[in-house]
Amino acid sequence: MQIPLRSNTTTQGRRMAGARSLWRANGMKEEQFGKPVIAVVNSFTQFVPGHAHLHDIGQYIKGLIEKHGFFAAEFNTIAIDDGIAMGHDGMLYSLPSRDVIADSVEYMCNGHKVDAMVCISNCDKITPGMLMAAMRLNIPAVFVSGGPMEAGLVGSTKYDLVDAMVLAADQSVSDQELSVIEQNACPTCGSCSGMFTANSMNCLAEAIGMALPGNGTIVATHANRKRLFEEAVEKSSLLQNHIITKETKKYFHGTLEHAMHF
Amino acid sequence: MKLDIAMGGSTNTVLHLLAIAHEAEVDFTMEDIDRLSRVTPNLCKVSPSSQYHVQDVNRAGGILSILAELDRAGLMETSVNRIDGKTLKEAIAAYDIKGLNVSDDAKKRFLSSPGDGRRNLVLGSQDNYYTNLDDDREKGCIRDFEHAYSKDGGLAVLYGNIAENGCIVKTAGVDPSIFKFTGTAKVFNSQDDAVNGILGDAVQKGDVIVIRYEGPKGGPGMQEMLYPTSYFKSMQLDKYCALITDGRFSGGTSGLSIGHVSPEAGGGGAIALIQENDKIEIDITERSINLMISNTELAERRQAEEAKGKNAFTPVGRKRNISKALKAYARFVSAADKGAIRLID
Repeated sequence: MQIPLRSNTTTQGRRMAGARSLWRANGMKEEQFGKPVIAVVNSFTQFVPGHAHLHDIGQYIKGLIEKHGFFAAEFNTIAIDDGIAMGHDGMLYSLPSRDVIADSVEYMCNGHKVDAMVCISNCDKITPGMLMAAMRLNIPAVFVSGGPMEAGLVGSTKYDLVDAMVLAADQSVSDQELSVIEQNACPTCGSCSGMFTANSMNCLAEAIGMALPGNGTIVATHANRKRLFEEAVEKSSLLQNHIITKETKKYFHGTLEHAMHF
Repeated sequence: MKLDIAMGGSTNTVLHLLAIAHEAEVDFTMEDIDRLSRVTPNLCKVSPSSQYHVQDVNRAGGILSILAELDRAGLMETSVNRIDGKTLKEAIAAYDIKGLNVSDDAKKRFLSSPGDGRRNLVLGSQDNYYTNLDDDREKGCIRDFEHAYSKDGGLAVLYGNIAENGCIVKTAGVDPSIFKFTGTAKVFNSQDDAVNGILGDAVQKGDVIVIRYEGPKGGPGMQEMLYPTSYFKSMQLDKYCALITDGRFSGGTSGLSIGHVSPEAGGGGAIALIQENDKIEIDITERSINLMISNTELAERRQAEEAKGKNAFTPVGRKRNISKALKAYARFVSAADKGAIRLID
């Protein structure tokens, strides 16, 4: 049975004339009315290297989705850089931001009666916040993360931000040595290069089947990372047969319940 | 969850999985995590527990290859569906680099390598490839069951009189020589005091640093203790000391660092009743953590604390400005063993 689109609430019937006017002013074309409305849930910010490279990808994805005749619209969540917030009272806001992210996704998707979403996450609180929202909303969702940062290289030794933090407090390391490591510990965009929280969560999204193979591990700078974004639109069940189902929660149920059999 | 245990991931995932499961209305608790941690091997160690980084996990076949090793050990249920319409079994068959039917697409993905080492802030801007995969399951980045770092997992849940509802330790980051550890409590009522204590030589080998009132409610916000644990490492105390807290850790933390102590100090937990120089016994193998005082004394301390009325279970001497937004958060948030979800109903 075809479940009616959630978005019909705002696009169908005489009483929704005002809403339709506004949708048109958002760029919705006549032929897109009655088609699924897909949210591109991005998390672009220039405060977090795991998210600073995501400015254009949301609009790129909107374009890919709309090739299928659907309407897509992007919004962004907040993102806190735990590494920059670390060690002072900024860190008090980190975990609470998870709930703010989950709530803001719920607010946007329910406020506008979205049918499905592509979640572009990456760092520590963003992936769990969006996963919480996906479970809460129970609409089809696919996850693609911004990808991990490359490890920093000094000679043949690899470094990451935690090395910089540890060595900063080690009195046996000279200022000069530390400066070289600081310059090189975080060389690219992406979530920090160790198996810290961001990468753990993005690997986990892949393991529970909410994201495609390679989501947790292909570096942010690589062309295959961009391909993952394309596949999230083309290969995921998001766009197949206009599905509007209870699948999201089922994936998670299935994975966890089976995991618990052991 | 099994994946996280198998790869010794961040302890924060426990918090987030509990919260996500709650949103999905799935019954999943600390007891489940404890049970899974006992049967899931630690197959992969990545920074901060080794020199490997996530790019090296990719070269070794990524997440589906880790799941494939768990599957070969008979530890996975693979009939579950995935977002691309495949079952986990089908996904493993296509993407396990040790499998017979590994696809060219899989090889291409896992050969994706970092760029040329220069600063690069652009998504998808380089197309470098390794010439070969890391398929060494004996000494490589991903191990098979036979060559696992340990047969039980990278995370453990400990229980005891100072963590009646449990606490979490990332065993993948702990030197086995201190799996059993008894030490002297050095108590700090905030992360800031603890940092000053560690860097100010107030902490010695054999101490157990207690950092409390940093839980979801008590902080509020359950700060990460990355600086205390990193300074531990800097001061070369990480193999000789333990750290316990009702706060949490970054995935960057290693050493005998025990977090998520529940109930938290700000929620009336016994961690608030620890006094300077108390003895604390930790046994990871036995999954226990206890304050070595009698039940009678513990009860007396609780009575004395409760007698403070509205000042009970608040941090003495802590100077911290807490905004109204954070106070609103603190009012509804649950303890770490519930995933720090909001309790509304």
